[in-house]
Amino acid sequence: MDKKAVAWLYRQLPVLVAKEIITAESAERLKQHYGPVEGSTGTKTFLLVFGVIGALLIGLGIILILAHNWEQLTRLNRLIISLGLLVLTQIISGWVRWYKRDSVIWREAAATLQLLMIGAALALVGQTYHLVEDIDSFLLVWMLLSLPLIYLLNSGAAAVLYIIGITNWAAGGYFDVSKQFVWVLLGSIGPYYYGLLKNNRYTNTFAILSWVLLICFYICFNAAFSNHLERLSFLIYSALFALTYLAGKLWFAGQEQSGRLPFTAVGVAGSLIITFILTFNHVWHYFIDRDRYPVTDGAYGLVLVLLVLVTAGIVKLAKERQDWRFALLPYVIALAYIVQSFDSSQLSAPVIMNGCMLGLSISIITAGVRRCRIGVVNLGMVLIAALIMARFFDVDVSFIVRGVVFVLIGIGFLVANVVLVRRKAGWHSEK
Amino acid sequence: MKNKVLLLALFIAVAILQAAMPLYMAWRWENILQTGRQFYWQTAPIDPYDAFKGRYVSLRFKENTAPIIDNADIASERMVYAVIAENDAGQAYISGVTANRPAQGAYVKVKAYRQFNDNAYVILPFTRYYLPEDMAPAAEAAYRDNAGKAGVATIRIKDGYGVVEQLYIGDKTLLEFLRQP
Repeated sequence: MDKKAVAWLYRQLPVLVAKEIITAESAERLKQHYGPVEGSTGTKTFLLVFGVIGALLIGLGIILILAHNWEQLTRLNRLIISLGLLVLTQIISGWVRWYKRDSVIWREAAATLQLLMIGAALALVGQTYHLVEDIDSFLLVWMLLSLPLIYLLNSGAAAVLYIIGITNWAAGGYFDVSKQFVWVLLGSIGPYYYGLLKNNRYTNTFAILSWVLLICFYICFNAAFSNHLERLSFLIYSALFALTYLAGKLWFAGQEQSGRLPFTAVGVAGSLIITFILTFNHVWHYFIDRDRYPVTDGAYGLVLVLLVLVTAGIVKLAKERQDWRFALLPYVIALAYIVQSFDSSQLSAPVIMNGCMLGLSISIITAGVRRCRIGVVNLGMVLIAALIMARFFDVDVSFIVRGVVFVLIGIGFLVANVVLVRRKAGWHSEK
Repeated sequence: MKNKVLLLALFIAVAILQAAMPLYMAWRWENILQTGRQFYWQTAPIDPYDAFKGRYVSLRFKENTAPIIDNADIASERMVYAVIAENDAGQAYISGVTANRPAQGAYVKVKAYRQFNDNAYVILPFTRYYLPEDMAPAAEAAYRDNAGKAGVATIRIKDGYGVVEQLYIGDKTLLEFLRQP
């Protein structure tokens, strides 16, 4: 249950009773039904954030001090220190687990500290025996050993650190087949995330974890597949961003705090960036040229699966009578790909994407004006400005063509402006 | 109640696993240091650093190509075995690369890439020597001044794994060399 919503309801109750919309008795029963709301959540959040940051700083500090590499220490001493610190944090965690399990602050801080001490112990052993990243797979072992902490201590901080750790592992160094293991590692966070989604979806923890998970997913996806997608990569990424957008709209929209969650924002931002990149003529020429980059069946299959998912999402969104047009972008890009492979002049695809981006910016501006949201209007303006800048400096197209197109679009804008003003005036006089 | 016991058991199991990993690693490399065969290897180090483990000198071994033995299929990204031998001067070199684990003698598990026809470029796994923070830059400078002439690492090798034991410049260990007036 959303605690903020309950608090809001409790503030409304006296008003409702005063206006005789509900009786005092009903108000009392409502309060009994929802139970008490904890006061001063602000202080608690502060304590939590400070607790986690404190544990993080202490842990990282210890790692740095050990990294100094004290020559006075023998190999045995080093081992005793690293294990001693680890066992100490394990005891703290155990104590928290059994005697302080209701305290979020204790759980998060203990989990953070223990996670870092696992890393410190491994690093110190690595330092003692001069191990290289390759053969001790330091990050991977560290993260695997830390995974149980997320569940045992029910800790969001440990989950965030774990996700960042495995993403670093996946993205760092040379990506060979064994690193596809990253999907198992990411998946193992699934039950925890699902639990949060079910029970605590209004918490800050859920919002932060969602942001980290989503961004890290894209980084891992890029690390794992970027070498295999070839020229379809833009299409595949646009479909992924559309799916992210759809997920945000379908599952997380309409709530009071949906703006804090990443899905719609990341989906929109990613889609817009991909569209903008594809307006460049030379991107099509150098990266998507059909003859130069043959595509594997697997990549085609992935495109197909993603497009089917996008379609399903659009259908569902349409059934809920929401605006689904934005999610059509992958189809426009797919169309541009198809046109590109039949067009020998190689110009139609960029033209389609430029038209698409122009239309998109205008529709964003109109939507912003209609809803009186200056931020949305500005976003549309920025998009148009970026498009104009990019085209103005495009060296591939002749000056005359560019000039004529600019003048025509400019005239179009002015005409639209005049029409809008007249219509608005007419609307006012009718009133 | 039963749940609680189970959870306690799980918690202890995880704690033991977490402690066992560094212990196991320490034992494994300590074992090689104690009982592995010692080799002298010419090196040329530089000085980078690792955020978690501190400063180190990065070792570049001079001998890094070797003939491929028994026509082995050396595909890149695959672990193969580098057979280690000593020349007349008592210095180690890679005498060959093979895909099969050698029955005897010293060998190291390495990544190797085919080069020319029957030669392989070998990346040896022990490429770091961690040093106290303040000594690493001085160590690098010392090595630069004595480049190639006297830089030697002793490596202990056993069952396909190797550990750097000590770095030498001339007949002094690196730390002794840095401390001398």
